[in-house]
Amino acid sequence: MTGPHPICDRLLEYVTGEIGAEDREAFERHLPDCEDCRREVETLTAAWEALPFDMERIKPPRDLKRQVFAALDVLEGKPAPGTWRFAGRRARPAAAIVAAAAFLLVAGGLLWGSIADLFRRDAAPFPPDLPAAVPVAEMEWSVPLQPAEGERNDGYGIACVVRQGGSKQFIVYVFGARRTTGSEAYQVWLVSGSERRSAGTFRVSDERGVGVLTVPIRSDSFSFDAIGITLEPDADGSQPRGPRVFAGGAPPPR
Amino acid sequence: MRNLPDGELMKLVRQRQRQALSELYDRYAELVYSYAWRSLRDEGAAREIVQAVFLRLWTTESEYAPDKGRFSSWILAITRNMLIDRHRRLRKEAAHLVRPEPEMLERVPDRSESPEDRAIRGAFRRQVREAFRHLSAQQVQLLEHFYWQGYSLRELADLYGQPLGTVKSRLHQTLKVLRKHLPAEEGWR
Repeated sequence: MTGPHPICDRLLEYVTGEIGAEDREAFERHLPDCEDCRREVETLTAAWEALPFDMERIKPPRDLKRQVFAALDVLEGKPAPGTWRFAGRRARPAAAIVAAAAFLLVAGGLLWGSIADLFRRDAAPFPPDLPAAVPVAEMEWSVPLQPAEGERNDGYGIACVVRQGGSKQFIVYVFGARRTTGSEAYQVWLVSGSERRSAGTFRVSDERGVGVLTVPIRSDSFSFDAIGITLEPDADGSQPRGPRVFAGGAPPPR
Repeated sequence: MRNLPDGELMKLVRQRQRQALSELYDRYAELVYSYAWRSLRDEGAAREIVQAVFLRLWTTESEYAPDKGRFSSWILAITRNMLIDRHRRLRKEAAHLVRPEPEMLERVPDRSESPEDRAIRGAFRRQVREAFRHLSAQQVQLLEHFYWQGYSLRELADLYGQPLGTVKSRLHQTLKVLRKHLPAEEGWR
């Protein structure tokens, strides 16, 4: 595997994507001049791309597509279709539900990471190389989350929007939340006027009760009047079924 | 939309055309879901990955270049990238190098075939699995760790107690053996 040039040694990393952008470019510049590498790249790439065939094909659950496109609505800052209305701001969520579609959203598969980790990863462009320098993350605003009325827990949290480079994330972070078991999940609900939509779900597997939800957002006007987090029997609900555990108000006016 | 090639659909996605994303979902969600399930063995986690991948298609700044390879390879590279992140984060949280459970390795690769398998891309899949028979148990394990579990080469060097160069040679050799036993013409998308 070692060719006449030191860069030939990076062949395997090149094929498997374990190479940084700079080395990848260097390797690609080198390819036209190295017949050995060209041949090996072709050979190894064919094998590499055959690897996913070592799996069973499984049909995704039917509701998954709806979930993905509901997540897209949140991403775009649109009220999701089928958002439910409720009578009055002070109404209890459970009593207020009229109808809904399913909108759970676990952005970017980014649960359970440290916040720094989340930013770093989402700022990373595809292909799978991390940028050498990560832009500074800045919090645009934050809203504290407290145990919901009548709820006995010592937990607390924060909902915030963080800008990093060209990307923006809506992040909900809770501490001291009860650990979820089985299919249980926490679900984040955003109330705007008389509309309510799900911003996504997250699980808590951490002993400290840490849970994170991150949602990439585009809209500059992303906002809400109130935020609530319920503990749901599963992550598939289109309306709150479980108790409201955390609550918070509107973001500060901007 | 239905007749458009993947690359054209991806261009429309970049112009914020949901219908194009919907069509790509119909074409590739099963591939991505199966792949994520194969790697994580968990339905909830596989769902999250599918969602993250299709949202990434919507938000990504990077272009899919049809002349550089199939769309399926591109989307699987995105998927694998996310899976690697997840695996590595889980390992980091475990605060030590988690060794895959032996029972899990025994299940892999699962060579049983459903009728659906055969119907969809039976021939090539069979050939891939046939090619796997030419690998040693260690080589199969190496692919499992590196490809599906997202261990880096350096992590594997630590895990196996071998020099990095040795692990690289082994992986290189493993891929060569596979290639040797694959058909010359790829009969798949």
